[in-house]
Amino acid sequence: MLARIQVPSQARRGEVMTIRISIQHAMETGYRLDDFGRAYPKNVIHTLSCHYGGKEVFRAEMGSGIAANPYFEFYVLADQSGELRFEWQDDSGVGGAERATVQVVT
Amino acid sequence: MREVSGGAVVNPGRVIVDTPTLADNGHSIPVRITVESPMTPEDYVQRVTILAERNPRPIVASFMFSPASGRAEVMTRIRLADIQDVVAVAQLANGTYWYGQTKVIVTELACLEEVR
Repeated sequence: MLARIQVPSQARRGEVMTIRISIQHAMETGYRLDDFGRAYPKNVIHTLSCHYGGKEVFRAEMGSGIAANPYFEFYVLADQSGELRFEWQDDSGVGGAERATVQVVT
Repeated sequence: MREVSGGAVVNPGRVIVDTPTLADNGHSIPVRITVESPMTPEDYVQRVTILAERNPRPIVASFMFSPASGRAEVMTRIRLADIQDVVAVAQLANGTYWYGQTKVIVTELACLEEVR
């Protein structure tokens, strides 16, 4: 699954970092019908989590109300140099992960 | 809303829901939720839930925060099946619930199949 993330490469300690993530996914609602009137099965990304320095700092749980190719912008307080790990999973069991490192200067 | 808070009282205020008032289509509407909170270990926002009552699934998403978030703010894009109020409910660490809402007018609705 393709995803794009934007994390600052460097931040000052105590600074609030802006994190942006966009994942390529159809976010199939389960209400859309094909040419034969059969519904496409619901398949949405239901969970997205972000860990920073091994601790979960943000988590999103969602349903079909999130638009296709889900995009999120959220904030994380910079306290130590380390890795931000993103993980997500959809209803069909397919998931993905992405990582980025941030260097915290004082 | 009571369902989200588990029956607890949900107070108006503290939560700002920022959306365009008029959207051309309901497939992708940007929403920014901001909760007034110092985000300290004693006083922070634990969870924010976005509700759209006239959608086939009214609970759109919920977001978990911690003091490490620094700021109780999130932006995403949602689907709307009708002209309606977008409501955001915030659960604070002290157990209180707050909400804010904004009416969104959608000219072309998302997923006409959903309305059928």
